Amino acid sequence: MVGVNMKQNNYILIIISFLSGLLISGFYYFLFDKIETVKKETRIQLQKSFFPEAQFFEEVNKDTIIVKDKNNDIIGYVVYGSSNKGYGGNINVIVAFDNNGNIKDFLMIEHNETPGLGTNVNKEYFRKGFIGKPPLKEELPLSKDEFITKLGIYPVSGATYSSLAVSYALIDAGIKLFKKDYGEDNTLSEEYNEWDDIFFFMNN
Amino acid sequence: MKKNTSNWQEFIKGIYKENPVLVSTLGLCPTLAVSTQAINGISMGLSVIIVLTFSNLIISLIKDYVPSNLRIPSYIIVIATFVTILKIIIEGFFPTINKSLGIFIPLIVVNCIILGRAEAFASRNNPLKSVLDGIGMGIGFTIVLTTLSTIREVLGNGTITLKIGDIGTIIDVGPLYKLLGLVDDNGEKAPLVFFLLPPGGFLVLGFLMGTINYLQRSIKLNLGFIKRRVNKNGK
Repeated sequence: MVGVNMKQNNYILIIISFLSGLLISGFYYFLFDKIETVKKETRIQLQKSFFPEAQFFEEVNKDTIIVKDKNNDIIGYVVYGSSNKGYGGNINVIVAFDNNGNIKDFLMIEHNETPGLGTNVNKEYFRKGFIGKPPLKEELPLSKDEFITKLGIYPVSGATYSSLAVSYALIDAGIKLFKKDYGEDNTLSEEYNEWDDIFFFMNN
Repeated sequence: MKKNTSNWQEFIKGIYKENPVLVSTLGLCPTLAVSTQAINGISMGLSVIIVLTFSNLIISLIKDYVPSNLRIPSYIIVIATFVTILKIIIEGFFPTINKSLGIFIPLIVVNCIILGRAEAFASRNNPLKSVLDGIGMGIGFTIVLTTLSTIREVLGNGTITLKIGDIGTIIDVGPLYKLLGLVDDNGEKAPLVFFLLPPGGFLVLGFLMGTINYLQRSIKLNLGFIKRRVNKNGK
């Protein structure tokens, strides 16, 4: 009975797959622009929320943005950093740096962390510990115990991995920030030793 | 399969008698994973209702054309299609839900409630009954998920989150903690993070399953008792 069926109706799977592909691509085709606009809008909204007084956002590259006020003076930087040390793999953070390259604020934006646990890294009590710190591996925690010694806060309870991943992502953002040459009036890139950090990431 | 069941019975069975999570123990993986905040339970449940209803409908329509040895791959393609479309729609119109549920939406594809209902029900019944079954099962799943996540969030975090993006609110049950004396040295509420972690999830789920089993059994016993009583008096 099965043999007969197999000969007669095998083409049905091809038809179903074809229709499925057609349907999905149709939906994607009509909603592609909408999805892209939404993504862009959320990015701009986030950047504005960090620097309410900002007028211009100059993209250096897709990860680094210079923030200027209405007099065209640099008031800070927005950098997208990432780390693969999250509990659910990759996490991406958006980090706001002030003029001196210290962390002004940050937010984990793309992640696979547990809702209600790992996502608590975006809560204020945790973010506060990082504010004002330079994004260097000497200053930010690299293990569970260093949260209390370096920042004076505890990692988010039940989410040590996510907390550490945030710390690593901030260092990553720091590397991206310092690696860029921002012109004459900026000394950020001078104190940065690239090879040192590449070795550091290879070893961790 | 039972015959002569009314449409209403097909709809209502998923909520109580054959509840997918508590009675059939289907879909435990997403149940335990997302049930850490009330709002996650609700939005996951709604997504499952949509996918389950549409996939049940389509599978019931194509069931006569699909040979038995190809049914699992065919069903999976149908389910995956609806999940992908749902994901695209959520990305475009509800970016905040997309942010909070992230990976769990694509994982609906392998949610065994949906494949289970396709295999056990939609492939043997007419489209109307299949749709009703899908909606009923989806609602049953949503109710359990919402209950479970509310209990876990209240015990584990001391809040009830009913907020997506900027809409909605977060209810703080701190006063309840203080009333019960569950406070730390500073007089702040002291929730047990244990309940947000996987073991706590299993524990709460176990209690819910126990409760519904107890209810179903005691109702059955009582019904039997009443029936015997009626029969006796009749004679």
